[in-house]
Amino acid sequence: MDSVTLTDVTYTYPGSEGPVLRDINLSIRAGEFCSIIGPNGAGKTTLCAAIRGFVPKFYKGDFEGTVRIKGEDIADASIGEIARDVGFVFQNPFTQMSGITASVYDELAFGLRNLGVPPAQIRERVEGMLELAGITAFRDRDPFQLSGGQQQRVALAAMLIMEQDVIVIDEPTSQLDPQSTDDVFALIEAAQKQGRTIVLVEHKMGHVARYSDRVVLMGEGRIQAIGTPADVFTDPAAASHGITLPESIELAQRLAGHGVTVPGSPLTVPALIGALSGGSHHVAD
Amino acid sequence: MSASAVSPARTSRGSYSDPRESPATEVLRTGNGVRDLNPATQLSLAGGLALTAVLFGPLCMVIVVTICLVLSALAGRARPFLTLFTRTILILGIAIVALQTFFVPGTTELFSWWLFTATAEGLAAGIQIASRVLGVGASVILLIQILNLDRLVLDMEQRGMSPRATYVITATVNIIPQMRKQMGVIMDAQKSRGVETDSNLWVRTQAFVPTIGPLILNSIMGVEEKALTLESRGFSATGTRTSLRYVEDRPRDKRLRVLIVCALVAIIGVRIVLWIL
Repeated sequence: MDSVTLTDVTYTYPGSEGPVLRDINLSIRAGEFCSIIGPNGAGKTTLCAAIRGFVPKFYKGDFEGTVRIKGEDIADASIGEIARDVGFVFQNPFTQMSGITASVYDELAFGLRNLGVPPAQIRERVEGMLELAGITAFRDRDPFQLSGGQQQRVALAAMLIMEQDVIVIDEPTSQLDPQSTDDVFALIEAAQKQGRTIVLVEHKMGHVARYSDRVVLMGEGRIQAIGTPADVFTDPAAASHGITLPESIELAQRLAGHGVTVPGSPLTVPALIGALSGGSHHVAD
Repeated sequence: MSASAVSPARTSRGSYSDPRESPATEVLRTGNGVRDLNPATQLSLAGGLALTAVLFGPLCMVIVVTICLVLSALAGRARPFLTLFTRTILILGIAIVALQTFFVPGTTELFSWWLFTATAEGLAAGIQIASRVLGVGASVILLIQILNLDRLVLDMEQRGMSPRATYVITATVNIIPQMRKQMGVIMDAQKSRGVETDSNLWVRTQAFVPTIGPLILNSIMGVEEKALTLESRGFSATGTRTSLRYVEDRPRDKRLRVLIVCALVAIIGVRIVLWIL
């Protein structure tokens, strides 16, 4: 069953000269990990905003087409109502704190309190999420006193705790170091394993290749390529849109230039090493 | 949209569930008798003391300041009360008396100093104004010492104030330390670009402009994401919200508030009688 469906979506921001999204048709299956990649200005963030209903409900502008979440058109639902099914995480962890809570515990409970979840259930779910996100150690700390990586995990946990079916995440690791990036991706993967549908905008292609079920390549407001990570990263369209390929794909392509053909499309460096050391590669005469 | 598993029955927009109905809620207490008074009682107490100081001036100033000091001591906050009082209100009071004494014209000369002449009329006017400032200031400082923002906001929620209003109050108070942290980041960034920020007053003043600009711009840009974050976390959802804690409004609080109101009525009556006589 499709969790998110966009049909003929075209959108222009108020005051903008042309559409930022053009004729977008996209279906994302329930429980799928779908990454959206593309150069700056390709429309990735706007696509996410359309799935969450911020476009056009918050940003206004000219919107055509339909967005369906679990089969239901969100045109008539308020942003608050959509929050029950779709969560959203931004790239800047600082702006994602509610600003009114004194502890990480209260920050996680904030969204559930707004939705009127019974107190006992809130406490149970907060404890569970602290454990899952690996942030139990700072449960009583002020969210604004945490590091960027810790704040981003808190922001993600604060969204995951609401148990929406769809989580839209916009460049969550753009300000993070490699270890924090891995921690955030581990948490996103855990959410997917719980059955959530993940829509992720990300520039770290190694992680996109490793975690995604499907990759959508955006360019000039349109979908330029769509498919498995192996399909998209070996598609010539990826290079023509200035996408930095995952290290393993790039290495494989360079090796091919030197006459070493690696079978398949290894999406991670260990997979590439495995393919090379396993003797499945072919060296041209 | 379909209701998810997290959505219980909804009633009216923006109200809070009665937290006492669930055993999972807890009472927000500090463990001190004065600080654990209901915020409405604390506000009534401070307001009553301030009004008394305004109505009676020098007659009651000493009593009001003494009560404030005693209550601060009972709250375990005598030292911060005295520190704040002496560094702000007391200095302001002395300045008012000095300025009034030297600049209010009068017929009774007390003494002369350089170009200035102190008059009895000026001194009397200074004492009248300063005593009121001291009384009101002491009451405000007492309130700062005993009133906890979290308890105040919770109490306002329990009394039916809208979540948006309580959010604005809390976020406004919390924004100062948050902006201070951002300011630190921006100053570090400017330092790395060669802007001097740690030196004499003139250098610091020069560094102020390249620091405050990005701070304001960042804050403006952050507002949009903050608003969307709140929306994503159901802030505009309709229906009853959950409280995890509550503030008690015990019978002794209600009795105390009645007593304060009665005392205020009596004090206003006495003041009117004194004016007539």
